[in-house]
Amino acid sequence: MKREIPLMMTFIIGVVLIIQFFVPHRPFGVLKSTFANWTNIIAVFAILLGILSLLKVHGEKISRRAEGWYYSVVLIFAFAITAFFGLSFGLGEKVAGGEMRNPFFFIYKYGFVPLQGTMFSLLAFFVASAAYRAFRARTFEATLLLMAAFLVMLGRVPISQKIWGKLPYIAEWIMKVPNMAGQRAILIGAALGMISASLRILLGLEREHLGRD
Amino acid sequence: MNLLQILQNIDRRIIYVLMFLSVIVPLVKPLGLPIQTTAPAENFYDYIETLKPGDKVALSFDYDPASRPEVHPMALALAYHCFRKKLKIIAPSLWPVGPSLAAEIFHDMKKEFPHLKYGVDFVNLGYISGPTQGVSQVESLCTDLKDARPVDVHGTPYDELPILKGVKGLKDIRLVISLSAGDPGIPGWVQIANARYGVKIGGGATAVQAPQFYPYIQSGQLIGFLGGLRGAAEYETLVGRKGTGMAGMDAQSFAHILIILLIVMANVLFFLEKQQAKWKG
Repeated sequence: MKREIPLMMTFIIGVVLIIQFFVPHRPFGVLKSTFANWTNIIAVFAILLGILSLLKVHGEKISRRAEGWYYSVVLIFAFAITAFFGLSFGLGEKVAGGEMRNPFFFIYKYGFVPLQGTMFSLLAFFVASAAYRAFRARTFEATLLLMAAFLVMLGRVPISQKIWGKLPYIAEWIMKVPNMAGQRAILIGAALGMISASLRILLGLEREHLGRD
Repeated sequence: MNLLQILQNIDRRIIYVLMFLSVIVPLVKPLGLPIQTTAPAENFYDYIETLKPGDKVALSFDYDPASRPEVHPMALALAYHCFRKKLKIIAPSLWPVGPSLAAEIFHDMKKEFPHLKYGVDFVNLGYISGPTQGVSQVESLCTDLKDARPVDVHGTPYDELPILKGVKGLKDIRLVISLSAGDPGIPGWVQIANARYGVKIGGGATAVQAPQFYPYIQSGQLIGFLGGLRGAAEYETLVGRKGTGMAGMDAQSFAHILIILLIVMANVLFFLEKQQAKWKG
């Protein structure tokens, strides 16, 4: 029964949600809202689990004085401070304009936002270095890919108009025709694959998510 | 080591410095290169121009600070256009940090439009939680907004917000704009709000994501689209408001040229090395 009950639940809930899509009225609409709320509640427990796991891993790193343990100290300290202000002040008072003003929002605006933006910005440097080291026209297809990349990269920036007035139009054509066709094929293929995988899970043919016996 | 080998194994820090200079110099000394607008951005602008004062528009903040440099400028330009047209903005978020980004937009817009009143001209609905891909969130926003978000981000009840009077769900409003950096985002809005309820959807996304939305543009499921910093710069040009989108395009021009030159140089060295090996062999 350890595997049969979860399989049965998966099938029943899955069928209800499929029917709800076509018949949104009672009782399927109500059931769908209930299941959606249950999902949110379970997601909260998953977040809690993630937080406890994070603290455990970094706590162990500090106690063992493993390599880079001081970064773990910074992480736990930052977590504690942000959690303290978040739980103490919440999102804060509404101010004209709707912006929240409190220490938690200060940490978000002047700490989190610039740091996350910086992390993403580092990609520009890595892409440049990787492009120099790895992008080689070894085959005809690779040459075609590189030419398309050059045309799109140049066509998408304003300096291309100074080089050749037709470049932006060529770049737009590449995006609108061959790119669009390929993306549509990927979308349809992925959707069919998702339907197939979902049906297999609903019908109990796919049981990897239940773990091994 | 000969010259070929030295150039092929160039220290990556030199490349990092070149990239840094190609970005910082145009930012400090802008060239002011003109931006040519494209059809997806023009269609977006034209659709919003057809809306009347008092019409309600949803601006969904489905991105995070990592994508802020690309997506935030388009959010500012779109919000500016909407408020200039005296439209009202309802701002849900499918990402947890979306409400904070929405709050920043409204804070900046208050400086340009001091008469704007929270709850009357715009509302920050807050984060709508749900599983991935945003299907159930979008569905609930379209059909029963009050059930999806009984209070706004500040805890004000739905019925106390004048802007939400007469809005049962987002399917009742003229346009939903999704500013997206991944899932949930534009796909969820197109697949549920547009496909099921016929809601008009406009989109803005990072340049990396932009190619995947061209099928939606071609089929008309997106009435308009802004891709990356270029899209933001195009919209700023259309609304006549200088912003970080336009300011960043000079830097992006030189960064792209640098990457192209590096790739060309690397391939020239690669072919020279092959020729050298042929001659020796």
